[in-house]
Amino acid sequence: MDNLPASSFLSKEPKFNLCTRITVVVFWCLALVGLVCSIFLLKDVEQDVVQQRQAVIERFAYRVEWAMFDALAHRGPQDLTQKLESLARRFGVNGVKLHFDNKILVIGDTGPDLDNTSRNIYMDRPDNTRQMAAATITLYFPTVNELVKSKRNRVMFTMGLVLLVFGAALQRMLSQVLTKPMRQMVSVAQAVSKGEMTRRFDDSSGDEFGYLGGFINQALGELSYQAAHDLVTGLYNRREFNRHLHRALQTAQRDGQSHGLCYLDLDRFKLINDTCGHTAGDEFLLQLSHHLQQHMRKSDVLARLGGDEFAVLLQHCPLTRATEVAEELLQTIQEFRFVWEHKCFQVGVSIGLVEIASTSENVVELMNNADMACYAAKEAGRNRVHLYQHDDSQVSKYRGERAIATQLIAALDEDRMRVFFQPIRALSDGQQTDRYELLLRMLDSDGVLLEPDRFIPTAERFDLMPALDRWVVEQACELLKDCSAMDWNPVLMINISGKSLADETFLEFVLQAISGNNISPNCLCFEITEAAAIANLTLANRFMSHLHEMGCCFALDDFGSGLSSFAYLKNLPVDYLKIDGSFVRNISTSEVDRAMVKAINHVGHVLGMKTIAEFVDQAAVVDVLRELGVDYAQGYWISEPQPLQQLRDSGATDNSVEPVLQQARGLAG
Amino acid sequence: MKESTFRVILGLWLLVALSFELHIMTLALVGLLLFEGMTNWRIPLLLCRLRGELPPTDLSINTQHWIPFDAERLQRLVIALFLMSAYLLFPQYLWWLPWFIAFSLLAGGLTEICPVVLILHWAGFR
Repeated sequence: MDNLPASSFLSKEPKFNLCTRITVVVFWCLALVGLVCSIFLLKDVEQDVVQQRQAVIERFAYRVEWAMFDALAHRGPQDLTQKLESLARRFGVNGVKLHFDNKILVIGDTGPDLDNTSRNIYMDRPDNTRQMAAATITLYFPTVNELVKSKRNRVMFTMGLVLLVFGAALQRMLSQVLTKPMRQMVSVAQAVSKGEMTRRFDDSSGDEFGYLGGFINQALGELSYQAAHDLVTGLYNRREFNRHLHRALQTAQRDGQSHGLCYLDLDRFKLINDTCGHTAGDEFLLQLSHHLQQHMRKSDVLARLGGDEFAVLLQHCPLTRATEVAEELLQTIQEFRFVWEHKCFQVGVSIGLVEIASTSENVVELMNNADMACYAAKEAGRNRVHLYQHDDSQVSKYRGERAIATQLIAALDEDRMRVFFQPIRALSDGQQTDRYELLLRMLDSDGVLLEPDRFIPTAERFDLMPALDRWVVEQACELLKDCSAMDWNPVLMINISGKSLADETFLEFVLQAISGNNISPNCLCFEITEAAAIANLTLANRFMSHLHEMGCCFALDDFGSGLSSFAYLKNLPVDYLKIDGSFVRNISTSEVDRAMVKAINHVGHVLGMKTIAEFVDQAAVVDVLRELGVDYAQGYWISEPQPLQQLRDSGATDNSVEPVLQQARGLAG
Repeated sequence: MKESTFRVILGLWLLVALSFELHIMTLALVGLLLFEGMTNWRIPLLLCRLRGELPPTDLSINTQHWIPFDAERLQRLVIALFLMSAYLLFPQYLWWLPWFIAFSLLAGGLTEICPVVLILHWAGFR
């Protein structure tokens, strides 16, 4: 197993991952920011260029004025040319034209594709002639558009490059700080989801990732622990135990090692739960687990499989030694005392022992064999160790029962259960209400009809009776609904098991079936064995009282066999007493049986009950029963069990089965 | 060649053209983009086919498409349209657009994420 529950989200790679998002945010946000900044910087670029140019002209003109003065006073016209060239370079002017004293001085490029601006210069002549010198200086620049374009290009290129480099650096940094640790966490999470439960997150960093890693590690640790351990006892659970068992099996198959597997089922554990509650039961299990661990080797593996079942894997332990260990475990558990609220409890244990050898096939087979050996130990009287052997009769019996249990479940699912009916005949005049006991049959997978004794004991052992009882109740209620539609109201007698009586929801189920099918409660009669009633007296009383008040009837089945205490008859709301067939069968020849039947019949009548004799299979029996005053008879002499469909059909055709049966048996009233 | 690699090339191409004011390069780029957009003979695809490889797919947020038109192809046309608008129609107002496109192509290529293509995929283009 080991994988976390299948989830589409866990198995997918993140598509639009964190790194991608960071990249998108960083680069594209920076791009937008860069664009906005650039537009802002270049907002008044044209105006700036013009102003700049104006300032250049003023400064240039000032410098030219001084240069001219110098040239006129001292240096001569050549110096002026040099000066102008120097000024043109310094101020970034493409060309200069100077008009002075009818001379034109041209420096640089003064082509027609350039913008030009002229300025007049007036200055005093240096020769003190009191005449003003006038000059016109024309400066040649690139056009404003070109300057603007050039500036825009510079700004955009620089801004773009800077932001690109900055973005790359930022993205790289964020990847290291955010994406890398996040990716590592995702990688570990994916490994854990694939079953690598030992992987842990990095919790060494002091930031949020470290905190998250530590937190998740702790949760994973707890999860791993809970997945492998039983929460009550702290022992390994079934899944973890199977893992150890699988490893042991592999060493046995590969290296020829011999191990032992013990399957432990506590006896009388339920007593602790029922007496002191589940808290006490849990505490008992915990104490017992600790006690057992102290008496085991370090290499042995102890696990709680569930409920009151434990398993022990004895590693590297040959069969003889394993048997000794199992006996020691038995002794240990028997000697263990549990005290709770001044009450002392002692439990027993049934142990099934299986050898794990090279011939063992798989874990499932080993556990099954151990379980069957444990069952055999219980059947043999409990509180013992039973060694599994392939040809063990007890084990074979259990195996057969398990197969039947499986068939039962399948039969319920596949609608292969069948209800038969057997009429219950009144032996005296005046009691003509039709009564029929419903009997269960099962069709096996080959279509062969199986009698109840083939599957009822197995159903009881494997807790399948409640399901069967409910199914029969449903069938009965549906039949009564159909009969009611035909204006016919027979009484159907349904057998109820002790397990159903103990099921608190069963009463609710029956009430639902009655109301859902809109049938009269008077048409239902429930047969309960005395043993079942006594085993669940409180619940039985509650069940019987509630339905009895509604109008349902109750019959105490197999009375006379088993415990047969008349005392209970006084407290249970019973309408019919079914005399066990073992007394009825030989009533015509046995005085003892006759006396028993007479006594039971008398007590029943005194208590206001009707009596029904079972297993009536001869005419002579009928005569004796009639003589004794028994009210009803049921058996093969009256009628063999028939399919329920026949009863349904007879209802549709004015109950034609009744006169036919009566004539055949000479019981016409 | 991946589409993202080709975007880097286009970005650099446009960046050089703008930096050195080589309008002919810009117009050539527009021409190439229009050609690729109209014919869907995209250079990365053609190169992959020549090598006999399957064209690699870049990241997409939506693998379902209901418009039978390649998003990359439409992206070419959109870029060409923007560049033509900036150069021919509104140069005084959209002078910044070619620069933005150039750096966007560069960033889209380097990061392998082109928001235009992502948006088109999300809209349902192939």
